[in-house]
Amino acid sequence: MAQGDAVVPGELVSANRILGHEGILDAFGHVSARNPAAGDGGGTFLLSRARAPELVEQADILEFTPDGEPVTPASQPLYLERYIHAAIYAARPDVGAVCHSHTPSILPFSVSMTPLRSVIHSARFIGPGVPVWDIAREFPGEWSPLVRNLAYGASLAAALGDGAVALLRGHGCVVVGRTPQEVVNRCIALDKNAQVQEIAHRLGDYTPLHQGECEDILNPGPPLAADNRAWEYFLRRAGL
Amino acid sequence: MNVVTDVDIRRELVAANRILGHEGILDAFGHVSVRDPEHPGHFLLCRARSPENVEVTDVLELDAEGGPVGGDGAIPYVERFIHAGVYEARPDVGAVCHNHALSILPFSISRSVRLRSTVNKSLMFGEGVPVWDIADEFGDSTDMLVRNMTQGRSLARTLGPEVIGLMRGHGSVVTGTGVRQVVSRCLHMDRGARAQLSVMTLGERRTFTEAELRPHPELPAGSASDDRDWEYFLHRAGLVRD
Repeated sequence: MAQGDAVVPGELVSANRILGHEGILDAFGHVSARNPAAGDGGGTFLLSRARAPELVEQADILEFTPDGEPVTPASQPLYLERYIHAAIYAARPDVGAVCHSHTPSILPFSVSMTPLRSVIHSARFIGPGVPVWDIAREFPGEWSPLVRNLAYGASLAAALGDGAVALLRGHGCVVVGRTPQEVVNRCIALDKNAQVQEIAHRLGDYTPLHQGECEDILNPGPPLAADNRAWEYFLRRAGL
Repeated sequence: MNVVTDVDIRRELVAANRILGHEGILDAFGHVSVRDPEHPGHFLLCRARSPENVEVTDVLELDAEGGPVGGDGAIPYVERFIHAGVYEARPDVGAVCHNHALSILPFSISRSVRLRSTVNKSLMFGEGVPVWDIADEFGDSTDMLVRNMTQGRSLARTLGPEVIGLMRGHGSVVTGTGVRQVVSRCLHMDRGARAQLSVMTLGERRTFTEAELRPHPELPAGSASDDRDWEYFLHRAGLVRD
């Protein structure tokens, strides 16, 4: 079912295009939004059919049940890992949008024992240490890194806890926020933070953000005007 | 009021915004300002908009404490106090850029390595660029933004007489006599930081002599090279000179 005229599906298409254009997502990875028309709790969410994010159009956006299955049976291929989104929406009522990416800058931190953490102010949401979810530890004998069912998704959502970011060992990350705009801003700031931290680490000792400087994800202030400034900027860069 | 001068300086400021955005020194955030030639205590800075998107109509006049002068209620950048603090402390400064350039950020948090002169164009770094840590004076629970004059003045004190100051986990403030010089310096700050990182991975290094590190009395402010840079970067950003 295409969500032709609602605001969020339009924003979701833009979020797909922006994250592709900025190199956060490539042929793979995906971004979703809670369906505002479906209410809280047992509501549905919106996600593209299986397609590279930079190519996503309005007609590609499908509606999914809280179990991660299409509301209307779909003939097109779907993202195998849509259960990441389903499980996080179920576990986190505060979350309105989710991105799963394989951004190159964060991948080393998903393997290294050095925790990815906030080192720059625009990435205050990261906090003092990002959890790393290891599918092989959670599900001994599992042969694939892919989050291919709801149980795997729920396990990942538990690792995410109350945070804004979780890493998937040797695979990628999930980033959550209240809106597609917030998730876009966070993905881009996370990428920069990871690059800065990796270089600073090579230089020797460094000072990360203090605990009190990190953002309280569950008690956020009102969205900043800065969010709109960034959205206008990224839309223009992506030619939207 | 000299209308021509004012219009020209506003256009030049917009071009500086576009160039610094185009070259990746500024992205969605960061800002560049110029001292107001009509009211030297005041300065010109755009409303809160990404630098690559600003237009001449976005330029605001702010007073010595960062308050909008006249204006139509347009929202200025929260961190305008960076500029106000530096202009107040440094009569020699005619333009200021606050940026979060990726290349300098690791040096803003490193406790092992200081950003310093490595190549000719980064001689302005001297023996080590000062780092302002907001937590030193304002505690470890701020949101790290320079939100008032007290914080802007604190930053300006750490900058002292230097060309560039770093802000821990945040970015840098770059000064110049005018818009063109500040644009050149921002670009060469970025290159200098990258060069230093590369040099560090290559092992043993050659260093500048003390004589090379001293300013050359026979080479004045270098405005001719700033103008050559300016023309080049205008072209790269797709901006055409009138």
